[in-house]
Amino acid sequence: MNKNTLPTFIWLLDDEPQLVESLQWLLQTVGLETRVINSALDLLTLPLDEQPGCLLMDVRMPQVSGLDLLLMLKQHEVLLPVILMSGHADVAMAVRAMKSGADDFFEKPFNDQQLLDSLQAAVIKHRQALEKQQLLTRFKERLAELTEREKQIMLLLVKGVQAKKIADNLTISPKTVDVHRHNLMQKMQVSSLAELVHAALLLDLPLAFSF
Amino acid sequence: MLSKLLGGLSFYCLLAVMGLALADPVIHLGVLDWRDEAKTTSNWQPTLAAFKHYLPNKQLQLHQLSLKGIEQALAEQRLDYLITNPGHYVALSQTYLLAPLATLNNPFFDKPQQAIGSVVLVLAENKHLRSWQDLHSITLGAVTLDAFGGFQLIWDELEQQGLDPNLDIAQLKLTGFPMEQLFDLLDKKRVDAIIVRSCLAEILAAEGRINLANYQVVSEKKHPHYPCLTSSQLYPDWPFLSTGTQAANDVSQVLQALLQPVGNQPAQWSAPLSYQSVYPLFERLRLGPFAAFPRNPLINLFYQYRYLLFFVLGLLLLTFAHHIRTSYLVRQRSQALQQAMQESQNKQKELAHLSRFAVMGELAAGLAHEINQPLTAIINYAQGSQRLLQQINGDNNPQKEPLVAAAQKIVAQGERAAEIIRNLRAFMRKGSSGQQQLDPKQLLQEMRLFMSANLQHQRVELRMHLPENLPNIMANRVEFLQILINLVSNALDAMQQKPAGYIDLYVEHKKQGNCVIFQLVDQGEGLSEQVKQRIFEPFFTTRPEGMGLGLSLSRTLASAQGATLNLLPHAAGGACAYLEWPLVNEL
Repeated sequence: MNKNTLPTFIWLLDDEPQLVESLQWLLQTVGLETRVINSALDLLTLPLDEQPGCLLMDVRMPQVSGLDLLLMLKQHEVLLPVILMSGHADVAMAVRAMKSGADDFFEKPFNDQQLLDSLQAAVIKHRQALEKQQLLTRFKERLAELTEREKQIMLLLVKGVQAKKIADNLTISPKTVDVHRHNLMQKMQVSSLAELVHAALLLDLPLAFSF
Repeated sequence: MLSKLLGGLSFYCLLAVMGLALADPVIHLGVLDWRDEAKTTSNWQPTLAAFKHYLPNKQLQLHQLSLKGIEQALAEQRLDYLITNPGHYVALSQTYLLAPLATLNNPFFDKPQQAIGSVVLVLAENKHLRSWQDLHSITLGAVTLDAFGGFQLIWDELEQQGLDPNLDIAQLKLTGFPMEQLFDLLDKKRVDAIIVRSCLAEILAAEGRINLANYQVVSEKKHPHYPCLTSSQLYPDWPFLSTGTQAANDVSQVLQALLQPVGNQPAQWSAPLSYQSVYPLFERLRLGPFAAFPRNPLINLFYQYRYLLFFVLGLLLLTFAHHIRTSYLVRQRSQALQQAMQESQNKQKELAHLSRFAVMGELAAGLAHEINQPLTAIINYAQGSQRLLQQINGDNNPQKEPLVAAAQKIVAQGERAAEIIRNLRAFMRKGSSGQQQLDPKQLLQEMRLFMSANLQHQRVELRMHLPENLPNIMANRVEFLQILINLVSNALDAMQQKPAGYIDLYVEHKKQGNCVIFQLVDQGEGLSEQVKQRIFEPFFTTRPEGMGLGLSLSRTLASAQGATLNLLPHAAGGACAYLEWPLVNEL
């Protein structure tokens, strides 16, 4: 299940179909697959974070402002990067777009190379974000499989506490600690302590701990 | 010859007549008889003695006459000299050439110019009669209406008090001379009060004929050094008059006789005084020389109601003054109003100018948007074409190179067109900067001033609901005004079908958002879903005469200043314009 193998979608949202068509055509020339969003209202129902991609959206649309949509997406914690474009941009609008969490802002008409570069960068960013999210989900699932004792020992291990000390602390034999360690590393599907620490970091577990 | 003879004859005749007159040794002296005859003779005894002493060869004949008798004698030229009261003299002097030779010395008083007065007496027991006003509706006794000291002086006093002797006195009993008989009437209570010459009472008392204690003066006037009771002003004593029948030499001899003492008896007369003071009195009473001007009932009325008249005049004067003041104030205020109107007009002109500029900017922005879309599409296609062409494997194809170049040129031309539009828009948007701290209350008042005519015309009342403490907002004054004026105009347009109504403007300070929210609620048609979606599009309008730029311009202006503008349907049926204005512009 590698996201690298998944197709990349560039989502397009503009109130003018002819412009959307021209964009589709331009992006196809560099092999980018596009998805046209017909209505801004069902934006949230779309599978935006299913595969890496980017949303290219107009700011000024009749029903709703692109800036408002951007804020809505961020509120719903959508990871998909958003690039805004406007036919009558000014500094104020650009600043607002960036502050609202846009990845880039283009004034129409735009230079194709700059747009493509920005889109590529956004797609890579999305892919990384998705991978990170996926890994996190996986670790979360594995963490849930651990017993309370295993969780307890894992927390101590990632803080760098030695097995003997853990045994003393929990008043169990070092042998038992070893068994738990073996089991938990298997359940977490990690082969080294470093990988375990990495998982703990991702899961945002407390690392700085002192007896 | 004959005529000369005749002339000489007539001259001699004339001389003879004159000589006869000159030679007449009898001097006729008329005297006004105001007491009984015996008393009069004794009164003038010193004068008679003086004549006898200094003019022994002249025979003096004394004629004691009544007022009318004197007049008749004068008319018949029977008198050479005359002694009468000052009033009578002034009255006669109108018709006869009378010259005062001397004025009587008052035996009681050494101030001859103040010798004659008049007094109103009542019985001492009548305690309720003490002032002029008490004389209302009583019976009053007097000698005659012609009597100077006996009536006219009191008449004058009464008139000055606003009393008319003919109207206000119940009955006037006239006895004629002699004057002392009035005391009998009073004693017998046939009259309530009597008018007598001043000093008569004192003379009678001295003669032992009355007891002064039995009488009381009405409205007594005190004159310093004057020993008699008076109720009136004082006038000069009686004059000795020459009627002009005697030669100047004879008159001089008479005058010398009058002024000189006889033996140890002092002269009864002294140098003549002016009787001028009698004239104003007669003028007031329309007597003597002034009788020709009969009493005007109108003037009388004026006189009677003079205080009321003064009051009314004063009132009129005040009214006039008030009128002047009012018209002055009106003029001043209308001037101020005119000035204010001029100012408002100037402002409106300024705003209209700026508004036109802003509309052009919005027009350019709208156009730019409309043209930018196809332009962007064109450039997209051209750039895509360029990429595709370069991907074609066939460097030997001679058509590839010009096609790539053409695609490049399409992109370049498209970008040039976009640049032109961008420049135009930038130019139009110039001057939209200049934000400053402004008081929303003041801006709203200014807006109301601009819209007042339109609001009145449509009979719509703009009700502002302002909280106590509103912070300043960061705004460009003209653009803020433009937005609000656009919104109110919009609300008015929406309410065009209504005969009257309200537009409510709610203002609140939202502390979390660090902004001020203006909500303008109208009572118009409201917003259909279709209209609501397109309302901010440039050139979209629901009115046939509308341009469709008002709201789109307002939103552009608002967002350029960091504010947001939305139009929502209101629960009550109308529309609500929702303007959120930041206190600080973060852009």
